[in-house]
Amino acid sequence: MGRFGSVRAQRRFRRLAQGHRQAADRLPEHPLPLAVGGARRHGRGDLAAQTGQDGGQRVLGAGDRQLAQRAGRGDVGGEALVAAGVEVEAVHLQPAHDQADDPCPRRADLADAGDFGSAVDADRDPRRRRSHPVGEDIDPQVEGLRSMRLGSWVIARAADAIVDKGRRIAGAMLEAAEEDIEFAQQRFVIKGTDRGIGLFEIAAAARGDGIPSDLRGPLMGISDETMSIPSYAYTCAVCEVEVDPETGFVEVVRYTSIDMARAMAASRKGSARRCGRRASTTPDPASSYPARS
Amino acid sequence: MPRADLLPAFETEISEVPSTTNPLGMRGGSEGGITPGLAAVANAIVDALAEFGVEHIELPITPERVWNATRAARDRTECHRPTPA
Repeated sequence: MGRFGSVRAQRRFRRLAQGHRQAADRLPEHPLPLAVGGARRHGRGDLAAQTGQDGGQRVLGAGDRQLAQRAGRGDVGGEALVAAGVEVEAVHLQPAHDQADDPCPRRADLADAGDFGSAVDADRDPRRRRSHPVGEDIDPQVEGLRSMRLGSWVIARAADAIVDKGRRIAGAMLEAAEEDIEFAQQRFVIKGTDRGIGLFEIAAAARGDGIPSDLRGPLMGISDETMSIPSYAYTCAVCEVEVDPETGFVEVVRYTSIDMARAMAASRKGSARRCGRRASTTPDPASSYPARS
Repeated sequence: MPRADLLPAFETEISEVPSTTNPLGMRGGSEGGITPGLAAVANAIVDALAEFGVEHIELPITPERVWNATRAARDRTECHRPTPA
């Protein structure tokens, strides 16, 4: 079995990715970047995922839901599609479906989906989705902590692809070498100068005629990742109690627990984040993960 | 039913040890960290009651169960105590 399973499954996945690109092309003129990524995974809890980013207007259409469902009917265990904007508005995760005729995956309880973070959206109404920065819709078969890892990685890679393409467009627009363009704080800037273009301006320009034809079109990235190696948190807990033998009443006096992991949904409070930075002795993987071809 | 006022004050810090099995260093959350918590609390209670002869107590550890376990262990110990001649 190859990286993504059978040849048939690979072919189907390419068709699905192509469908996403076409869906992106059908979107009306849009100032925001649009990323489309695909991912698949094998094993239990396989999932299909889709995400739409639309700047508040619309999410990739119902057709994509069907695509994702079709993707879930893979004979190798499962495939996933993720389409993500740079600012991801909604992530929808669906399981691979053994029952190919089941048109409608069950929806998870909010509690089941809670691993993804605090913002969980089990409603498919786009108007409600906008109230959450990240929404999620998970079938009970899909475990949040697994789909979260896959979804995050696919989105990160799709975002990378957007930045790479944006860098090339910025190079063409600023008449600078691509290698001299750096991306930071949503801007593509020529190194050592203050000349630069914003990400959204690049996205808008990408639709026009002012840039080389091979770079024209929606600013989007494709990511196609498999994540099959498990990863599990490990924990240490120490507890001190006081028990009243006369009444049986137990008081937890002290409880210390360390849950080794990378904080995915760190507290929005600055203090917690700073604390995490200081406590961490490792480089931030989010900014230094190895580039893959 | 335990309530919030039975809990000690929380101090939280983030200690990050990235996983090496995926590019973003992510690990699963939630259930991985909850499971040993139950064992730690239960073991602490059994340890506290060791002097009464308690060796095991079933979850959920209600005051009634603690009281019964303590009584049962003490009765058992007294039964086995050699009667004075």
